Amino acid sequence: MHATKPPTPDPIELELPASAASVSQARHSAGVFAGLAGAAREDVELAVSEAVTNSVVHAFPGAASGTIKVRAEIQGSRLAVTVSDDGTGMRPNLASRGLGIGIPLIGRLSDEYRVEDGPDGGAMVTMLFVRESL
Amino acid sequence: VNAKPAFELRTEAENGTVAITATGELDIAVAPELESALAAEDASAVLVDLTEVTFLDSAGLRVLLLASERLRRAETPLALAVAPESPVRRMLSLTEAEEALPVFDDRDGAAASLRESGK
Repeated sequence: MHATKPPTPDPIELELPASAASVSQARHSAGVFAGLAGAAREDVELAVSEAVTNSVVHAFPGAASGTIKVRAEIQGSRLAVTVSDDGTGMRPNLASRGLGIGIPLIGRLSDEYRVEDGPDGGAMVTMLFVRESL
Repeated sequence: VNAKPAFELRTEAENGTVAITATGELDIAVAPELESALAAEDASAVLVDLTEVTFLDSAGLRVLLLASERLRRAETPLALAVAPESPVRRMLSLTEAEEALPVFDDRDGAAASLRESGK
């Protein structure tokens, strides 16, 4: 027998309502995936919480409802998590309930990240994390 | 599924000091509960025990920073208990909020600081 190779979990994909209660659901799912993938679970959970909170707070001003998609997959030696929404995209929002530190925090927690227009018209945040225990 | 994270708050008042004990995960879904608890108008001092909080993100941090600022303006002493090496402590350190908030390693230390403040 060769040394046991670390498992490569199948990608996960969640489609959640853009509501505050979805934040913990996305965080917990991404955390479990991070554990299986050998990435720093606490970092992934916090970064995903910030990204989904950003979508909840910024993308859907007023009473607009929307959908947030979370996808986590293995990309070689890294774990990739993408959070996208179908909201208004990245714009200043003076009525924000946020602190404005979500994206800088994602920058500190991830190995690499990018924010861009998503396929559903809103913003898309892609975060890459090193699989430390590989 | 529309479940909030596991989170509980207990508020006690003794001799004008309001002590809020939070347990569980503090994010945007439950941050308003903490915000309400911290809004107590008649407190002469406020202690927030976060030693049993297992997760804190910027939505929860925002509530703590806003309360800290409001209490400072009202000259009401505030003390936070945050376990060393905990996820909460790490979040405070990552965001440099540790320097802006009156943080103590445990509840006894937080309570002692409030007693010393003379209120």
